[in-house]
Amino acid sequence: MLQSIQAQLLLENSKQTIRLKDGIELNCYKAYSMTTIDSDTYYYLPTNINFPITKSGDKSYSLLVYKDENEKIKGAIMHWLVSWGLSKSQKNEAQLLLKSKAGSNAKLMGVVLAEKNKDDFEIQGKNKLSEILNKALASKGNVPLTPNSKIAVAYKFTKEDALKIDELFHNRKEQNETYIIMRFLVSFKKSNGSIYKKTIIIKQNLQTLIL
Amino acid sequence: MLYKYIFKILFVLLFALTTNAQNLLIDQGTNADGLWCFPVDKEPNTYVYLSSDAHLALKENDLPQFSYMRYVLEKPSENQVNTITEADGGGILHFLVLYDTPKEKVDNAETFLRNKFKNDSIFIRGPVIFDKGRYTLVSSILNSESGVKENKIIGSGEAPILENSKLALSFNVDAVKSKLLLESLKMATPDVSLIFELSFSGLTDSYEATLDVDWSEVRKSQQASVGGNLYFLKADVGVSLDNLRRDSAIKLSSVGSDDAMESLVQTAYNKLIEMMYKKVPLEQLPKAEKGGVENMISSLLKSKGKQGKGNISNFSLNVAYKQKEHRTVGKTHMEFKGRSRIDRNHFITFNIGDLYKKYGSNESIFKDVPLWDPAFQQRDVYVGIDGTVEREFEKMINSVTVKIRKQHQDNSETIKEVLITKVSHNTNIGGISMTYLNHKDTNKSKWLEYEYQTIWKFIGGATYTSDWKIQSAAMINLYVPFERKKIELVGDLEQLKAQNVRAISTKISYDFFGNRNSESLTIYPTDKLTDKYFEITLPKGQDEIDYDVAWFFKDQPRLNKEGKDNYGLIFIDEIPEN
Repeated sequence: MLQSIQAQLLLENSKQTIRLKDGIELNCYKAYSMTTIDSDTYYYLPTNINFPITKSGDKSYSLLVYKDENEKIKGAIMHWLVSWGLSKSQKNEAQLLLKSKAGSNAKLMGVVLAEKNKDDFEIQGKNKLSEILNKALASKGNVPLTPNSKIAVAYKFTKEDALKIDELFHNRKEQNETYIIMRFLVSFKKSNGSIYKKTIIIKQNLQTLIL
Repeated sequence: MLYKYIFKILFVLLFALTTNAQNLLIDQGTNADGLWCFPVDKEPNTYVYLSSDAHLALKENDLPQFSYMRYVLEKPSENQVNTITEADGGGILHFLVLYDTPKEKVDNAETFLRNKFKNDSIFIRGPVIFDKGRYTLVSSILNSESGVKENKIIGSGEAPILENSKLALSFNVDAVKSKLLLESLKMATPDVSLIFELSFSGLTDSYEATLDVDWSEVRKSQQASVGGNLYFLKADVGVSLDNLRRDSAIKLSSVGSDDAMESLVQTAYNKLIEMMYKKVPLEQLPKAEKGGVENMISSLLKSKGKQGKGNISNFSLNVAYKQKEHRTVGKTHMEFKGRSRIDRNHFITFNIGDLYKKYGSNESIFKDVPLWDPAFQQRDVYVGIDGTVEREFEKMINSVTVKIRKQHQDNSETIKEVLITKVSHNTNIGGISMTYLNHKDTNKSKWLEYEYQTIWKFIGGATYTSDWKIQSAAMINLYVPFERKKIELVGDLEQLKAQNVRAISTKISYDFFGNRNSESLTIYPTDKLTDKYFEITLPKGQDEIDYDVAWFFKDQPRLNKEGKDNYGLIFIDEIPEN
């Protein structure tokens, strides 16, 4: 008989935190099943926000500052494709680390199948770059619920903000203080049996994404 | 009595789900080497997967089904100072996009599942068939109508629900955006992304529960909270249902284990939404309501750090909810048993990518075209009036007629004329023009050539008609065809006095455009000659005048002398001999 997989319900008190060699932190939880208790099956929460690499080898963002006929800056647009998730080698590394921490029978099944959270994407920060990015948000998609898929975000800057964005976007300090936030909903089961949905927040500063 | 208002509805869903949708077990999905796969209910070892990739559709020759054409149109210039002005134009972007899953990915996922569950009988049957699909365009260039930042989603619509079905999109942008879009397309991540929002459904794990609705309490609660809105977003609907639950207008109780409580609440809420609200896609909203709903979406997009609203997780930006007329008295009792079908959303994001790098020089993909068609062209010839003409309208000129004559290359002829008077000149300063069209005038420099003629009508009845002149300039400049000339009288008045001359009469006559004009002056030896001269108007290039001088003596008869002058000098002390 096929082994049952509970992709949505995680046991609250089964958390295992592991850290990959590149610094990425993974929170893994055992999965709960109504029919079978499989204490060796783990899922990890969404992690590792990144700008995926395009086929041409570039990070998937573009900033275009445009000028008028007198070479004066007139405006700017920016487009991001942002993703989250682990690469195959990172997943393999995580599997090994989980075994060493939770026992040789521990199986990392993959990422939990999260649900959409309403305020799923946000730029956070008290610095100038965060303020301008929030102001310039023109349209965006949804945070993907599957790893290594992308959310598209489009910005349109006013003339005033366009004068600053090129410098601010490439300023390390500004990048470091600008956070990209993604939110997901994941179902957990408490030890007393009750079930609740928890907002899982992952964040990454812009500098880490760009470098 | 109360009982007759209680409607009992039993939802036994485990075996009643007879729709055509695949009964995938939604709580039992797994991410198999990057591909989400779900087991199918009652079909052991059978999985289906969620489509993973979106890309441009390809033609048979492997070129992408994409084109970006920029066009240039001539437009009338309002600026008569600059000779180089902005042409009109824009761009048309057209592409076909689809989502699918590479076979290699499916094969890898199948291997992953077999290894993971140590079961070689597992196989992946095919893609999840989506219940519905929407696309949303994410672009600050293509989404913005006005060129200023707009926090609205404009590009959205129905998307295919089957893998490999193509979605065709077309956008028309103005001249500035066409340039901006071209520059963006040259970048690695251009400002054109498309989100496929694909809904699918599946079965939850087992549960058993009851839901009771007290319609009079529902009515009270809604009267207190609805306000004036007709349409709501799903997030607001969720809040409303949570409030109803808090106000005890609806009661949800699970029987036995609460393991599947969240799925249950979702199922019960979905049932209530069906009873109380009607889904209205954004594009079907009445015009008057669309702005309000878009503002609500904008607020939602912009809202930061707020806690989740309501218990509705899979809300959509593409659908609004309108409250239905529902019962206001009595109670409804619903029982839920078994599995329930719940909806989930899957998002696939597509970006145009670095197409320009690969195909920028391929004119079947990127092309700039001038849309110049001589058949639609016209030539405007303006009439410029010199300041001297303007002044002479007061003194000499009644009117000027300007004619143009255009011999076209198809042997047809266009003749146009304008009449310029003091009044028409003052009311059309700088705007007097004539137009001729293009009659198969394929040689453009010849098309610009034309002939013109001017006809001057002077006060007093004289007329001057110029010859036809050929030119290609866009302006015919009018200058007066005459000039002022001073004819001075020169001589020694003392000597004339000594010769007993009492007076000298001088008469001049000259042609003026067909008229014979004459003037005369009488001089006495006591006069000052500096005050005595003729000021006359002669056609340009005509200097000669006729003159007749008569000397009157005290003691002898009058003497006369006739002559012609070209220099503006008449000597009055050269008395002829008798």
